[in-house]
This record gives sequence, structure tokens and C-alpha cells, in this order.
Amino acid sequence: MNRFIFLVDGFTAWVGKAFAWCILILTFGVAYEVFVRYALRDPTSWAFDLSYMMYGTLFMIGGAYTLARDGHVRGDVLFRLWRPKVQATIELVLYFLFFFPGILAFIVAGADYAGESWSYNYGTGEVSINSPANVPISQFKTIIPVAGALLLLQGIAQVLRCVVCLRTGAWPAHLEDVEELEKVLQERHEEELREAADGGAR
Amino acid sequence: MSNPEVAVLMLGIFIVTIMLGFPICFTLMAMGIFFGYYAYYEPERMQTVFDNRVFDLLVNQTYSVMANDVLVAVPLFLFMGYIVERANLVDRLFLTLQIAARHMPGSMAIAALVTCTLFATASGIIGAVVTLMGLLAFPAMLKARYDTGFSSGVICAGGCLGILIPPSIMLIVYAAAASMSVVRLYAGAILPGLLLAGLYILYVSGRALLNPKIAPPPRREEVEAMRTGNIVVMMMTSFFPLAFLILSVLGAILFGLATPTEAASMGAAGGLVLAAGYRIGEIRTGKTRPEWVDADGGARPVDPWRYAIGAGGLLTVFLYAAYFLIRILANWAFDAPLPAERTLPFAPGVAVGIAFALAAAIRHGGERWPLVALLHPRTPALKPLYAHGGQGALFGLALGAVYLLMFPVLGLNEAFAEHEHSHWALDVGFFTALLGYMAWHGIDKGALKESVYLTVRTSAMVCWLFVGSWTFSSVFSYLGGHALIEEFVLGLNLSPITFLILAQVIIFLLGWPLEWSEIIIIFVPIFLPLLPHFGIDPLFFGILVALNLQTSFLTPPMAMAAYYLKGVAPPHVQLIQIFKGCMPFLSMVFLAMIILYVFPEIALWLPKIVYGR
Repeated sequence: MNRFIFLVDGFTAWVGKAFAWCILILTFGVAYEVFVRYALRDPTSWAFDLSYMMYGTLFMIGGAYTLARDGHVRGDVLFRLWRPKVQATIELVLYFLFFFPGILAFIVAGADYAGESWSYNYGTGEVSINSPANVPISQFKTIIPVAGALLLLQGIAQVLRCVVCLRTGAWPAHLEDVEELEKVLQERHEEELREAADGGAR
Repeated sequence: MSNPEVAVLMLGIFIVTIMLGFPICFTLMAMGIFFGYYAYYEPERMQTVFDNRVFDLLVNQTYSVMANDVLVAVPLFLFMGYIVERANLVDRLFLTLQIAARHMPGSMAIAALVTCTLFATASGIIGAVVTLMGLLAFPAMLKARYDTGFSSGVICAGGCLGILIPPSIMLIVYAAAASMSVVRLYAGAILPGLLLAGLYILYVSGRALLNPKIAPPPRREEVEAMRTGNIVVMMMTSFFPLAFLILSVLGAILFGLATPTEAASMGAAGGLVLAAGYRIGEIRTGKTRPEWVDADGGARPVDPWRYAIGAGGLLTVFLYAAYFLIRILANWAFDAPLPAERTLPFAPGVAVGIAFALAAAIRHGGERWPLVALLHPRTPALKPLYAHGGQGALFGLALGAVYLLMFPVLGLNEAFAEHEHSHWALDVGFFTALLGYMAWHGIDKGALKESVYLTVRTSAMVCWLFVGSWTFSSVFSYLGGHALIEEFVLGLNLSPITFLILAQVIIFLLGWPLEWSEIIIIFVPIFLPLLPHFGIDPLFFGILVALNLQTSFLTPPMAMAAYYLKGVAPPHVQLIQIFKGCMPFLSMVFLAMIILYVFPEIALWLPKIVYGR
């Protein structure tokens, strides 16, 4: 079961990280637009569409990766005081009560929406109305069901996490990954203190 | 049960479920769908279970978050912040400012405050600022015999300023939630932000002046060790680039030169250049050991031609940039025409030709050639960097050639007749790949990857909250929840000031269990429709909220800033000392709120001057 969890974690993280590089395209695409517009007075017709597409793709696809790393915000004032088994029970129930119905609706409705978009222009797909450049946007709308499917997959892994926790009484570990600076520094600091204490004891 | 009552039930159930600790965006989405299904239920139109308009609502709201032109700035600012955060700028910044401020009372505290403010403004994330400064400035202050509580208050309060002073991410999120102009909000937040920072500095230097025991001045020999010239150089290299980056981003937004998204992308690109520049500088002086240098300091030998092409190409880029700069300046100064083409004049491929000619000159003239001397590496480590650039340039040139050949070979010339720009392919391929390869090798790849991955996680966290919350609140408002709340509050017959205080107290209390993102995205929109009834400007309200949330980071029991600091502080520092140290700064925030309430012009004056309303 642990192997399945890590397999799914690895997969969503890989996809999320691959799409994370959209941020570079976004940065340089918009920076280029600023340069040619203000310096050369010759704006592009695609930069605006590029900007929201990169941003939307980035965060939608990143949703599952964020869930895998427990990055979505939660009101955890009470939650963190409970024992892991209680936490896992509540999470398990809420995953079935809230998460799966919501995400299933999201996938079905999103697939419908994307399918409709692909059917425009005699089946060649919808184009953006923001510029005369005819930037296609059907692929962007397809991101909705894709992100939903990734979340569904990750949700199954999260449920299995709860099951493992109910059995063993401890949350299974996360894969090694980048952490926010405050976490990294605090862990390093604690380690140093421990080492110093060990040295003092000896 | 009537519809508005259902809406209130919905809000009640939601608040209870938040406390269960499930990721809030999914709770919001699910509740929106359940109650929406009830609200839009039309039995006569049901053929399948999915024939309910709530599903259309869900995707449409999702898509409007995905295509939202305000929120695009969120990942960009986050990215800029993470880049700056991981570029090791803080220690220099603090050291420089500490030396520069050495004659003022409480110099270290002031330096820490200014560093925190600048850094938090760039990164917009308080956790990182407080922990970094807690490791760097806090021990330094304790070592200089500063009072523990005083020092911890300085660091916690300084770190939180970043959410108020623009360009802050919180204000963008508020603008998106309140459908306001980010630009006006930024203009409004500057003076209150400076007011609060000024109050902090006044308090710090006042305390230090009255009671030198808590912030003793540096010893004489420490002060006189530095010469003014050195300090100027240190300021030039550590303080000004970051300050310039922030000010240019902010200035471009405020003077209407660029939208927040554009300014953010320039800021992120500038942050990358800054990070790469510092790293290349460190490689040049031998401070950092790049991956192509062995442990004993020797660099791998490089192919002289690739090195020459890299150096020649880089020189051409400088010439090219200078040419454009002159043409652009001439256009601004005397209305001279702008260059018609985006590549060098004359013929396509000339720029590449010049680069190769320079490369040949470098190869044969050795490295004594005067222009090359500018680029000439001081340490052997820099030479491979040019070689990487040269290699990239050749690769890009090949790609460009393939692109050009593709049209005649595949017989596409007719179809792409309007594709006249294709003759740029050689130039664009050559120079983009040259700079790209060089930057890729010059920048700290580990730090870049970390920044990119953290950006995607934090943006997903914020934006998925919007996906859930917009679905939820549309259903809430369709059921008549907003109208009911409005009726209820208006029925209380509050005066504007009572309402304002009540709203701020509620937000203050919400700040204990919740984070700013949840408060701004979920709860503040409940108050927003009420504002016009009391004649309160949403801009003014937003800034009060931003000030208010400062307190939520500093007040026990859930003072995040204090916990971050405690996490990295030396073991003898107690949490209670940190809390006590934060108290005076907390009262400064309340003072700022009162001042702002008495003189709302502080927030409203600048937007009025700049945008006329």
C-alpha cells in the first residue's frame, strides 16, 4: 500500500513539477511583451493570452502536487491537537463526504465544458476573443478535467494514507521534497541544538 | 425552510467543518455543489442526475479564476520572492545596513527592521523572513547585548510589514476578492505602510535613546574599522540592487507604466538576473565553487573555439543592447524614429556574422584584445561558462537553420507567405540559446528548481481557494445569504464607526485560528457588500484589514511570527519573552489604525492624486 502511495505521489509531483516551469515561460513571455511594447512600441498579439494560460495551467495542474505535500491550507487549530488516529478517521470520512463528490462533479462538468469548447469552429476548437491572433483555448479548458483527474488519483492515495495511519497509528512519510525556507531552517536549527546537546553530554 | 435560512445553515455548517481541519478549498467546493444542487434543483428539466446548473456554475467559476488577469500576478510575485529569498542576499543586506546606521541609537535594531521590511516586501512571505532574520540578526543582536524581548519584537514586527507594504501578495488577493483595482490599492497602501514602518523605527530609536541598556551602541573600535568608501561600495552592491528592483516594480505599477502582472514579470526577471549576477560575481571572485570546478580549484579545460564564440556572442549582445538603447533614447529625446526591425539592421543573420567575426578575432588575437579584456575571466572558473554559452549558441543556430530550411523543403512557402518574420530565426536562435545556456549554467540550479516548485505549490494553495470560494459564495448569494446578512446588519442601526470597529474586531478574532489567505478570500467578501451602506471606501477598508492582519501574526495564542522565531532562536529564549517583546509593536499597529481612522486621507490621498478618484 505504501508503494502505491509513493507511486501516485511521485507521479503527481512529476506532473506538477513539469508544469511548474510554466512560470519561466510566463516571466519571460510577459517581460518580452513589456520590452517590445514600451521600448519599441510594437506590442505582440499573443502575450496576454499566454499570460493567463500559463498561470491557469500552473496552478490547476499543481493542485494535486500540492495536495500530495499537504500544502492546501486547512484550519488546523484543533486538528493538530488530536492523535493521528483521530485525525485519520476524520479525514477519511471527509474525503468520502466532501472530496470525492466534489472532484467527480468537477471532472464530469469539466469534461463537458472542454468537449463543448473543442466542438467550436467545425471541430477545430475554440479560439480566444482577446486578440485577432486566433490563439486556441480549447486545450486550456481541457486542463479543468485533467486537473480534476490528477486530484482524484491523489485523493485515492490520500485515503490510503488515512488507512495506513489507522492501522499503524502514525502518518506515513511524505517523499523528500523542497520545503519552505522556514521549515528547512527550523529543522536544521533543531538538529544543531541536538548535536550540541549530545556533544555536551559526552 | 426558506432559501436565505438555508444559506445561513450553509455558512454555519461550513464554519464548523473548517474546524475539522480538512483542506478548505475542497470543503468549499463540495458545500457549494451540495447546496447549489438544492438551490438550482428543477425536477421538470432533469433527464440525468447531472442536469443541474450548479455544474455549469462550478466550471464557469473555475474558468474565471483560471483566466483572471489580476491573479496572474500572484505566481509571478511569489516567484520573484522565492528567487530573492534563495539568492543569499539577506546577510549582506543586514551587514551593510548595520554598518551604515551605526551612528543611530539602536542601530542594529533599525538595520534589522529595514532589512526585514525590504526583504519582506520583495518576498511577501513572512515565515521565511522571520526565520532567516531570526538566524542571522537575532543572534547578532543578542551578542551585542541587546535585550531579548526587544530584539525579538523587532524581528517579528519587521517581518510582518511585508504583507502591508506593496508589492504585497495579500493586497493582490484582496483586490481579486473585492474586484478592485490593484493599482489603486497599492497606491493607497504605501503611505500607511511607511507610517507603520516609521512608527516602528521611531519607537525603536526612542527606546534605545531613553534606555541604552536594552540596545547598547557598538563599541568604538568596531565603528571606526570601516571607511566611508567601503560602506558606499557595500551599499551599492547589496542594498541598492534589491531596493532598485522593488522600487522599479512599484514605480512602474503606480505611474501606470505597466500592469501589476507586467511589473511582476519584470520583477521576477530582474530577480533572476540579480541572482545570476550575484552568483557569477561570486564565481568570478572565487567565493562560490560552481559544479564545473574540481574540489582542488582546477576547472576542466575548454574548447577554445566554443569559449571564443561565447565571448564574441556576449560582446555582440552588449553592442546590440547599446544600439537599441541609443535608438530608444533618441526616440524619447528627439522623437527620432524607432528601429523598424527587432534584430540588428541590414540583413538577417548579420548579428550572428558579427558574433562569429568577434569570436575569430578573440581566437586569433588571443585574450589581449581590449574589448575582450572586459570579459576576460579572472578565475579559470569563468571560462567554461563562456564555453557553455558558445555551445548553446551553436545549438540555437542549428535549430534556427532547421526552422528556415523546413519551409522550402516541406513546400510550405506558399502557406506561410505571411510568415515574413521567419528570417529572424538565425539571430533569435543564436542569441537566445547563448544567453539561455549561460544563464542556466550561471544560476544556482538547485535554488532555481526550489523556487519554481515552491511557486507552484503556493500559487495552487491560493488559487484553489479562489476556485472553491467563488463557487461557494455564488451559491450563498443566490440563496439570498448576502441579502439576509445585509438586512440583519442594517437592522442593528449601527453607526459607520461602530460597524467599522465591529468588522475589524471580527477579523482580528478570525486571525487567531485562520491564515490571511482564508480570511481575505472567504470572510472579507461577506463584509464587502455592506460597505456602501455605511459610506466606507473598500480601499480604506482593505488597508485597515491589512493593518489588522499584522496583529494576527503577533498576538498570542496563534502568533505565527513568534512561533517562527521561537523555532530558530537559541534555546534559552522563551516564547513568553518573544510575546512580551511583540506587545509594544502591537500597540504601534493599533496606533497606526487609529491614526488611519482619524485621517483616512493617509490612505486616500495618493490614489486621488495619481488616479483622480
